[in-house]
Amino acid sequence: MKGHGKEGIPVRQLSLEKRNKACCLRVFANRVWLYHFGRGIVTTANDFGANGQRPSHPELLDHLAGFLIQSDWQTMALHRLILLSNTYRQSSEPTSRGLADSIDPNNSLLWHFPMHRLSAEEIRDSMLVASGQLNTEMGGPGVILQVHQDLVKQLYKPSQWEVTKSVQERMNRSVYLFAKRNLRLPFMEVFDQPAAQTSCSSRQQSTHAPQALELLNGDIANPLAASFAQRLNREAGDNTLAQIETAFMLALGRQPTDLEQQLAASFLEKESLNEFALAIFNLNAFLNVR
Amino acid sequence: MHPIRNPRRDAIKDSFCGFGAMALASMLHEPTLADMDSLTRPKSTHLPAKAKSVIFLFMAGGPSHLETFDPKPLLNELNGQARPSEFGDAKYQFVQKDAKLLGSKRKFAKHGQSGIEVSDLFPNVAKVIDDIAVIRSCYGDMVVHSAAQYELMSGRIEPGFPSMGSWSIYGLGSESQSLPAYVVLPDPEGALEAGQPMYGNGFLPAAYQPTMMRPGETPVLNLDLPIGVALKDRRRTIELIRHLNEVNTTSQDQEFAARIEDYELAFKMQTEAPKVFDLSGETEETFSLYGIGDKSTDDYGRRCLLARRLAEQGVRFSVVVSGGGSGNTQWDAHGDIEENHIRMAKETDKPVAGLLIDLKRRGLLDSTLVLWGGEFGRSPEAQGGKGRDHHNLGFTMWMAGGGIRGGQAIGATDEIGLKAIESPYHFRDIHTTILNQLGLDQDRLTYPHLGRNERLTQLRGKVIQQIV
Repeated sequence: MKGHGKEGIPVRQLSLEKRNKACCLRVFANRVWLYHFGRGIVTTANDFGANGQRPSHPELLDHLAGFLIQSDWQTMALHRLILLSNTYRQSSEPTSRGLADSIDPNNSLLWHFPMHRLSAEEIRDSMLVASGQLNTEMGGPGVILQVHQDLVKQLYKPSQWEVTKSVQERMNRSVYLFAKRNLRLPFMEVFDQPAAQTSCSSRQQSTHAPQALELLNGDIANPLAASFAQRLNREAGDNTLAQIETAFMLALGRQPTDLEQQLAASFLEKESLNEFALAIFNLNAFLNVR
Repeated sequence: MHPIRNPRRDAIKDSFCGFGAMALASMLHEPTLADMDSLTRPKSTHLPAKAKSVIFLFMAGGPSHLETFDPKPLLNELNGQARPSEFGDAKYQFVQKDAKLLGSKRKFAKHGQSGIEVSDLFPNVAKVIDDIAVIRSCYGDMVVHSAAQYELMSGRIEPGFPSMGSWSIYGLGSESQSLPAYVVLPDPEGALEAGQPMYGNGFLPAAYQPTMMRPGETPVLNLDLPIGVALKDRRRTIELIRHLNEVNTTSQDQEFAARIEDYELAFKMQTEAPKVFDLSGETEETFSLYGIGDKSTDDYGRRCLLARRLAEQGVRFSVVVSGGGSGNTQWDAHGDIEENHIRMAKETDKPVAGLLIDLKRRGLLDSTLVLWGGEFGRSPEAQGGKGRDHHNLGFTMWMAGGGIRGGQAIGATDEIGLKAIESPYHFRDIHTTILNQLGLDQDRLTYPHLGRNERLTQLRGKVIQQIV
């Protein structure tokens, strides 16, 4: 797609009628949608050509593309539009399924929210937020985290893996993590972060046991669970029930049910707050958007 | 909305009375959540399977065919001379046109009932040569390490594509409940040029990634509990996770159900997987069979023994790497072919033969395909007088077990070992043969990626009929 139309007018200034030519607008809007729903309006986000899938909601896609022009390419405005929509705010568990299950079993028409797991980066970021460790500073050089020495040794030049000295910077959002083709963070790798060699339009979402091992025993989840536990102590004091409520509010954005409260309280009679905090990070409710 | 029309694609779609479009539609199958749910469950094969698992003895850096399995008397006669023009041209990484041919100092002799010639670098492998099918006519497309390693592993010369190990477990699923299905046992000397991506799952789901075993006490990441946490506490934590998950799970949530199961499996891996790495139950006789305890063979011997134990436990694909770090601690004999290959062969000869003998006597060889080789061979020309450069136009790999008919040497290079001239076999043919033995068909083992169904072989490979 060239930046200018036939008359030499920048694409963003083309009349809506000529938007058919502005494929890039649809591609961009589709990607923003994909990040929120786990699936694009066009599911083949890298292929809008004859080989790609047809859009499930063509008018909606055009509307979003037009909205981008109207809002002067403000991505934030597009995020807001999507996140405040009724479609996004639906439950993933519809009150009535009726015929919908047989007519559209794959939920292509979005008759309920498509539940999906957080991406690798979102899981780490969510743990950083819940534990109160997130560094909200923007910018700066790529952040290199400590990984097991054996992995570094498998680099052709191990000296290239120079761990970021500032503890605060190591708590940066995952988008700032240094991406090295030959040494992917095991945490990111196991949660389907794609290899950095080829273009990836939408990520796979897999579910397998090494993910559980990473979240239970790994060196990203455990220190953050410890920080989360400290925060619970700090903010809720020594009161077990208050700790449980605070944990649910911080990590899941809701109060625990009576049953959850009960289960957690009986766990905490014998086990440490660290293990409880780690369990919270392992909950489906924490790891998924539903 | 009208996507940009591509006349060439239109032509295909409109041709064959519209059948082109039907083919396109079937290519666009997207994996559903239900597929994802059963990612690593055992799956039925396309064809009757002869092998259940593969062990790739990866001789990294490129072992010389001329010093090992492919004797060339004429090369010895022509030692010190320029390559006669009738053999044609070859492109090397370092060696220039004025380089002189280098004869081999190794002695070859016929071994076994099959009488296959093996050099004195491999006295132990020579004893089991009747189980081995030697392929003397292998070739690849690239003459530099990283690109050649990618092609050897994934069929493509650039990174980002799934390796043969990942494709295999994508096709077969996992047989073991407590072990990963695909493992790589790297050389403790260090990494290779192509790095970890060559073993990787590329665009396949992360469930098909290799598990990189680490040298030392903890071969698998995250199997150890964090310091200060006891197993009984962790058991209770996993129970809490399960209970809290279950109160929020309905029958519709297949994905959630799978995740709950995964915590049970993770716990099982944690307690059971370390047992397979504990070699203390093996006998002294087995240790000496693999050369364990002997300084030069101890490391590779241990890893070969581990590969047998893994195959025994249902691990589908393992790569046992010989060579790592700098070129001379790989098979990359630029400086001195004698010094390098005598050392590298010593480290691996006994362990490799031990592995074949051990698999056979345990009845595992029939179901375990063993592949031996590197990303290329070495040049007939000398580099700097005593070394040999990389060489991809003709070299040797071998297979044994897993339904392969051993005791034969197939294909041939020309009289100086420059080019594969008789029944040449590309890496894609090796890949196709491996898949075939596992019961997998290269055309049916596909995965949609960027608008097309990708497979392991970029161009279609052929099954090496002479050995299957």
